[in-house]
Amino acid sequence: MQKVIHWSYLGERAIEIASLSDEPNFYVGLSDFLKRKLILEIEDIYITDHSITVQFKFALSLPVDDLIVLVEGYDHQDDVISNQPVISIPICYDSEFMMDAQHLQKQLNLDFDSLIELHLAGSYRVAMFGFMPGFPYLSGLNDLLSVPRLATPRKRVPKGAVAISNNMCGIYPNTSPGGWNIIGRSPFKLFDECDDPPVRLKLGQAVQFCRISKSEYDAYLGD
Amino acid sequence: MPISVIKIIKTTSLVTIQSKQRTGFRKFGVPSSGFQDEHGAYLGNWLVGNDREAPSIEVFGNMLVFEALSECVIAIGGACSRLLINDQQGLLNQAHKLVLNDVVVVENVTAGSIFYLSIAGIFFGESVMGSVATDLTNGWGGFQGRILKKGDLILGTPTLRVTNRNFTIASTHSQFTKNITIHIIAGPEAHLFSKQVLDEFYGESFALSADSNRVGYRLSGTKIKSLAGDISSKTVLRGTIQVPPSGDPIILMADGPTTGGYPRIGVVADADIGLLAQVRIGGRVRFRLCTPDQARRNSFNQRIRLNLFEE
Repeated sequence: MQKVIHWSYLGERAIEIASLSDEPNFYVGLSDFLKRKLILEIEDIYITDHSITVQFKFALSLPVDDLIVLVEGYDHQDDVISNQPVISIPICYDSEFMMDAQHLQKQLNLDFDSLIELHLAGSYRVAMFGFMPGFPYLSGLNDLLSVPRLATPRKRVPKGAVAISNNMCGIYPNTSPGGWNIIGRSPFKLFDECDDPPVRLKLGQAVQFCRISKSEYDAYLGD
Repeated sequence: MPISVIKIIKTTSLVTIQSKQRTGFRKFGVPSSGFQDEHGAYLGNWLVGNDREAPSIEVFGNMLVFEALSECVIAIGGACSRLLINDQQGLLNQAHKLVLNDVVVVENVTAGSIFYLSIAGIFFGESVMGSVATDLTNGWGGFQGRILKKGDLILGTPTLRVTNRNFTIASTHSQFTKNITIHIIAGPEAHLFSKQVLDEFYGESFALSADSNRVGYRLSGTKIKSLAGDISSKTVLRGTIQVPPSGDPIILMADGPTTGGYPRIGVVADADIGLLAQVRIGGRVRFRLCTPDQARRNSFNQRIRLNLFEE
């Protein structure tokens, strides 16, 4: 069945194509496919929740129709992405780190243990990076944990804060202002500007959380 | 061997080392940074014989005073109205050779908000992810990832040949005016604004707010209200105009983030980014809708003009 492709310009050099599939890894696969086809034409490709943006280098005319034909011809198979190893990310749910525990319990009508259990049990995928360098948006959050952003964002969210908002979970690679609900803390290093690539997670990669104690957290950071 | 080339004596401006953009890392959430007004930076670099994208010192504001700690050749690009070398007026459209302890005052009191100091030869900035452009938000690149302050020493290996290049000031500096019109291409969420609101957006002018910086230019004026408050986080690029619930549009600039959750009403045409970057606080910005084809044609013609500054 041929799908209608919704696209829009994002400025004169970029085309954003949205809502092609509900499967997050579709976009990762499509991005790899287009990169191979257009390696000399594109500046880069960006993935966000249910959309992909293809940014071209300087060009007098953009081959929009040809790009759409390419996208239509893409046959998604999850093989490449599924072959990536599942990565395990340690999280400490110490009360000191669960900065929004109280209002989350109230708002979601869950007790403390169920909150942690539901959060731990999710099977997550790296859906996109954004907001700040290396910040992963992890899809796969349990619907029971779906909660809006804080009405008033925090001026300072600590590095490693694990936070949830709507249907996503994220981890702050560095100290920053932020408006997500903080549920734990991770010592996992997400971003280093001196590494190539600077991120340790890959787009589309499966992520599993594992629970660690406060002393394990301290030991992890001490290494 | 790098030597100390200049020392910052005084500034009231936001002074950073900038260069070509940090490309290829936006997909990991890393801003591109780089020159806000590439045209201005290219001219300065061209005058001293550097590559057009070579690192230069961006002065976002009105004033910079520095001292030469070695012989060097300098030039100014962008919005500058006055160059004093040891109290002697210097021509703005050419390179100047400095000797030890020369004191240089660069000022802009007329129009435009950014000028560039180029130094002939190589000067040293910290390269991070392929670019020495300073990213102030994340604290990397350039000079320890921070603003240059009084007393800072700029290291480099200056070359001392003075070029015979010069350009007509009228063709470059007079473009900076208090009120500008910039071309924009309709954004992916333009449909989230009513016809009446879009008419106002394109009909009125907006003032540049004092809290504008390298991350974003904030505008105030008629409140632009969208039919939806937030969207899920989507890709944003330099020049993307987002409309938060306050109704005051924000145009993302060099250090802007890579994703945003506000409706994207439009994107500034590439050819007009430099002009926009040069608007002063309080200056007025008017938007004119154009097609992507028109925008690309303007960019093409601008690149042809810039390519004249190649040898």
